[in-house]
Amino acid sequence: MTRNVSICAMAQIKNQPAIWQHRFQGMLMECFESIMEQTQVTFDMDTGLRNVVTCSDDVFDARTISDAAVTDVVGAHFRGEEKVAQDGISALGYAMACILSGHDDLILVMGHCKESQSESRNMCTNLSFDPFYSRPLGLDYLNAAAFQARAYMEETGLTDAHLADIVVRSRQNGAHTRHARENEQVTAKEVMASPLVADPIRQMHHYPVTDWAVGFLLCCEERAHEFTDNPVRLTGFGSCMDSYFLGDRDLTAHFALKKACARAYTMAGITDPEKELDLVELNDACAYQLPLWAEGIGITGKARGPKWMEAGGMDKHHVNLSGGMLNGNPLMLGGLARAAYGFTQLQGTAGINQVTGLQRALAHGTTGAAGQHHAVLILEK
Amino acid sequence: MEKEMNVTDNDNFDTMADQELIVLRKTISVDQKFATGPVMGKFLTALKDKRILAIQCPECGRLQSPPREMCAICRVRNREWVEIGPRGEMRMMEYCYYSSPDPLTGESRETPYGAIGILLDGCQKEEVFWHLLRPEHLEMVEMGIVMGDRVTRGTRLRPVWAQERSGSIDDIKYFEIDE
Repeated sequence: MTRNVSICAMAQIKNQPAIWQHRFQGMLMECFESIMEQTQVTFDMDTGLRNVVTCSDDVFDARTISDAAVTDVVGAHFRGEEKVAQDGISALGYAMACILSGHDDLILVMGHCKESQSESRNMCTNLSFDPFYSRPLGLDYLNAAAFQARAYMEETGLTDAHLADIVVRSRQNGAHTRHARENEQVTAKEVMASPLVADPIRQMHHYPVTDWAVGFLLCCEERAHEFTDNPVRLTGFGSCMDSYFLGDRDLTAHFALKKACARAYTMAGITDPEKELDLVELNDACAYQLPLWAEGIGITGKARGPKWMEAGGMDKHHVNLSGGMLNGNPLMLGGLARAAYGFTQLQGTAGINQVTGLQRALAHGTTGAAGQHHAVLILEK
Repeated sequence: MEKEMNVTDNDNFDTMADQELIVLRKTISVDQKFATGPVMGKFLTALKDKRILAIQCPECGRLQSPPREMCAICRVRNREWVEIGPRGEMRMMEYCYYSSPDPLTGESRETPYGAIGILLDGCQKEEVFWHLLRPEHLEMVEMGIVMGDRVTRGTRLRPVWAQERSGSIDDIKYFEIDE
């Protein structure tokens, strides 16, 4: 018998520039307590939670084996606990696999990242590169993204004006999203006047420093009613890893994203993503990534990103109504934030930006420099 | 079309002993600021006033010091604060013959040193507080042992407080024999 998986509950704290008043354990505790309260789930060894999947990053936590520090606050004492050290959407995929395989009925997924703790995000992501070549040359996720942005803009005619529109729209949508980071509203002119940080990426094109934590309770579909009246099904997941060395990759070819989507679409029975996805949440750490990833997941048809944008593609396909990662979610949790928003939309609790008649959403996460790894999750009502 | 490469001796890993193998020395350093939060923060602040605090689980009553936000065993938020010690009984000690440098100062403490677990007054069972023993007292202390009904008392100890206290665990210099 094929099993199905549902998200029964999600809990998050507000995305903030610096949560100076809490350790990351305190951030997670609030999510944990909310999940317990919403669902009354127990840790009974026969019927309750036996396994927890966490997502965190050693360098951002400044602690090796970063999950060991949070087991107290995610209920993992004397239970199974495993950590995903890449974008947290993979933690949801892993939890799904635990349930689909029949290994367990219930999995708690907990993620945290406190970007404000480090002196510099770029110094942290610089450490993701090899110590002999790329690291001493100064590569980090931001300037690596600039290579990709330049290549994509050259190839498609995406302009600084397009990027400004994406930023303006992101902040407008972010202002309508509960728990989103509070940012100043800006005009396209202001975005285009913001300083270049790694040409062609301007400061406002890049997501701001953010602290956040989130939790999800996943359950096999047949038991979901024990924990919620309003479950959201997970019907597809796919992931793919591209080459580590930036020079080995065609930065605009979507090798990993297309493969991740192909797997998820097959699993969910999607043949035409352009028509069959009602809501799309893309992990856009930088503005140029929104149209780039939109192409990769196959919702722009034959058009390249800029033409698709000009034809109203972002609103037509309900892309990043949350504000996207661009509005502010920490690294590692971009994909979890996309899934969290898709969940609220499918539950019908997304507020001003609620889409009516929504049946199916895609949440996307990416890890590594310029999208080395991609994963997509399909959520359905 | 792939170009055919010239195969030389250098392509053979077996010959690498003949070449200079370079090892790079690097220091990984990213400045951090660690929020203590209200729980660890309260514990550290109390050290400034020469007080040692524990937090108590509302369900099992277990005292935890240093304090944690939640009782890991009962999965509930800890709320009640209890002052413990500052005197207590030595429960266990290890001789440590090496010492890692403090990343901020680069200084290492003298070796060997005694890393000790003290059952501070007011605590029981595993509610042991970890700190250091005054180096001169290394050979002069005894461990307390609890094995079933057999209880052996360990040496009584008291904290030696730093003159300047800033709200850090170093506000206690070490524990010494209390006599």
